Amino acid sequence: MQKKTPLSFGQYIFIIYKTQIGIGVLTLPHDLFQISGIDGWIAVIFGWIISLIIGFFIVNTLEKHPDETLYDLLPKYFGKWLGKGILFCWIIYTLYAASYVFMYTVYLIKVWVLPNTSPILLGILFIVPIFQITVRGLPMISRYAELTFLVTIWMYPIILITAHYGMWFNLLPIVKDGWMPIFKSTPTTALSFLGFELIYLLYPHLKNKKQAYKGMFIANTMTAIVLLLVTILSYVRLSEAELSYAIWPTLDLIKLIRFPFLERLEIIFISAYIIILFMTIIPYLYMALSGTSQLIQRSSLKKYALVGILFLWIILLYSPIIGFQPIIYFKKWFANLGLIFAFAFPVLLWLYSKVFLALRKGQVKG
Amino acid sequence: METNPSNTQDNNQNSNPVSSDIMVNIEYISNRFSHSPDLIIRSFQTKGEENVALVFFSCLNDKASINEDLLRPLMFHLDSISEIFQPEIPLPIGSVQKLNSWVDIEKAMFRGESILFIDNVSHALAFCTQGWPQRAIAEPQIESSLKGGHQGFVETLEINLALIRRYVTDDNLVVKEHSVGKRAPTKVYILYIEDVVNPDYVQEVTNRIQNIKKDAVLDLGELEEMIEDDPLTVFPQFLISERPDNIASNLLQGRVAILMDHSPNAIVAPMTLAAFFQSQDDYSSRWIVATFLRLLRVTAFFLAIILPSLYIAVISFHYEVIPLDLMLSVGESRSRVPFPPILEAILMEIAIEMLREAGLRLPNPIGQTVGVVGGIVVGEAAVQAGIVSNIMVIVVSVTAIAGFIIPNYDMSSAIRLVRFPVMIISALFGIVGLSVGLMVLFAHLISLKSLGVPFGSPIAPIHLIDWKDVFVRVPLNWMKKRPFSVNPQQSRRLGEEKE
Repeated sequence: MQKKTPLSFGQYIFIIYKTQIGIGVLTLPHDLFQISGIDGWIAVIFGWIISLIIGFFIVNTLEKHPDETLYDLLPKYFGKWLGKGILFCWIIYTLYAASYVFMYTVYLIKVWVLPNTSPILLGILFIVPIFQITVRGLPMISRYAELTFLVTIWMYPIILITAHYGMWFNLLPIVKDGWMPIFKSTPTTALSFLGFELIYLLYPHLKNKKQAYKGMFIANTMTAIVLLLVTILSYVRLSEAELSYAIWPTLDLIKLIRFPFLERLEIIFISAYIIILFMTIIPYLYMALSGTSQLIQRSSLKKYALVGILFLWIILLYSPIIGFQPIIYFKKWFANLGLIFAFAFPVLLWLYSKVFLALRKGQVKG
Repeated sequence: METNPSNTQDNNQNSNPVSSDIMVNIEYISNRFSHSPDLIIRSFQTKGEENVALVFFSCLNDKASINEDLLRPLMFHLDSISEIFQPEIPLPIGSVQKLNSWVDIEKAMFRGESILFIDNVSHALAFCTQGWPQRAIAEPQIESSLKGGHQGFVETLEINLALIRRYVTDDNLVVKEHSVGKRAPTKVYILYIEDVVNPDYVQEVTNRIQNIKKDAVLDLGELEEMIEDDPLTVFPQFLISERPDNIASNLLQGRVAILMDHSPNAIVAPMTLAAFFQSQDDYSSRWIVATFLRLLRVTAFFLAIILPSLYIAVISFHYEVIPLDLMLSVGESRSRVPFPPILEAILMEIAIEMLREAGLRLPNPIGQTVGVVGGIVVGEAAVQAGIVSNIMVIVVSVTAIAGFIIPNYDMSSAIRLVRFPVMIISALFGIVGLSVGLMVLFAHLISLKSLGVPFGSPIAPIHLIDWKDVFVRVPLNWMKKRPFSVNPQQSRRLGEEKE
């Protein structure tokens, strides 16, 4: 039914990787510090292992149906109505993710760069590229993911520069409060790894299906490396007091860099970082849209749905519900929804598919 | 050559066959072209005393050729006119065609052929005796060449084809003839190397050219607009070049070239964004130098788009980004200027664009004067009068120079134009606006297609194998393959596959 646009191996990796890199990178050191102190970086490694396992479940589930996305699979597995119900929940989740990151981006810019500009104006500015890219679908998104990687490649050395005056002894002793706080903080890293659930949508498009595991591994590992880098550098450069009150420690980290010709580097950094944040919004938005068109069986409405959603976002920005405090608060919801849909759901679906396929096989034989 | 418009529309008469009575034919022709003073109908008797008539447009034919090669043998040498109908026509003329219908005859006449009617013969003969005013081959004007060939295309299709054939002496070079325009049909050649090019492109180009519905297409630029993928964008999706070596190189890379009569240019398709930053001279200079130039062009591309916007954004929103010493000198320079930075920038940019356009359209000596006047007035007096700041003059001049570095005229004009919206959005939203503006711009660039090939290739979608010839130009021996973005049938340039 759907025309499949082929996705190269690199594009598959970049879409997942660039979706994962998002608001998590900016906030993770602080979130981890609050729970497990200076040992928080170990939790990133655990988070990485868990997301690899979940990624394995996702690919393994889809492997049986190489030409079907999650959305095609749901009605098949759960029957028409239950399938549609779950599909609807997925739409809500992906839409929430996209909307949340969008609002977050607007307020991030408002706090750090343009304190006097109205959020609505920023919102109107931001929906232009989001519309432009989302409306052209997956081939455009995949190309854009590659471009995003290329135009933001300078950020890695910038972050590395901060290692120069690092107090590496801050990290010692390792595991000073025991392992429990580290395990407790592991779910916190979930938010930063969210994005691999896109495999549900991307897998059927991938040109060479055998590379799906490898791509999932590479994307998750790249994300883990970036997160680890940011977390460790924040812990060796920022004081404990800074880490406990700064919501965006990564930006405080970049604030420390000074060139003879350039100060306040974080302003430029954050302005360029919105390109990466958009690359988190757009895939989720696209996933929500393709879910919607699957639900109502009409792909021509996609464009109108997109316009509707973007319009809704502007209205939401106008309403008093959304403000700086609520944005910080709603992050918990995002993380919890992510735990349900991206972490718990794949495992359950995998188990279900095993049972389902075994049962069906039995039926065919009997 | 004025023909009666109502006659040209009259198709019923056109499809009539040629009569065997010569008087009828002459009558018909003189009625048909009654408004053409350059039509010459020469009736005479051959040596064998048959009645014949030679009809041609004097302005489109070479008189020496007609006198010496046609009239002289017909009048004095051929014993009987029937000798003409033998397979080896005893006339010193390259191409002779038998024509039956009036439509073909009229087309041939407008092509510049002379038509011979013979009494009691129900077809006519068309002789290739063309000759019209044409320009000598000269150095290309827009794309000047440093080390490559100095011959540029001229307005005659056959000469242009000859220039290309001199470079591509391959028997696989295919030339397909088409014609565009209903009222004034113009010859168009599609060129490609058969065993290299991807046949989809040839098919696509052919379809698009055949689908053109217009009464006349005068220039290749018009043709380009009618066959390109997205006419609504400022960015050119095909390359228009006036250098045969450039076209030859692109043909060999697996692209399709389009030549059109009376246009001193050729189109190359499909093109990618990266290919617009390549110049033919890159391949004939040292590869390290060429790499340096490539990087310079990429830098210039970015500077030309973002420099004024960055200045506006930083001055109006984020002056804290600049260190204090630099800020002081900027502030000092701006202290007398009453305008906000955006107004200042737009004022200067428009002044520069006007100077440029004026210099371009005026004859050379006056054009230089414009440059001097503009440079002194804009550069010196405006600063002293306190209308613009010194720094702004520097920014705008650097931007203008950066814009000139892009080797392709269409691309450099596009870059000049997109600068303005980016400037406005930066004035509204600072660096965030600049960042979003660039994002929209790049997203637009990678969404474009040229003959269905992603315009952003090999940068997005990434094809690392092609990067040997994008930001750098590696030694030619290392470029064993044709660009992957062009998707050629035969990807190896060197080696056994082609001797």
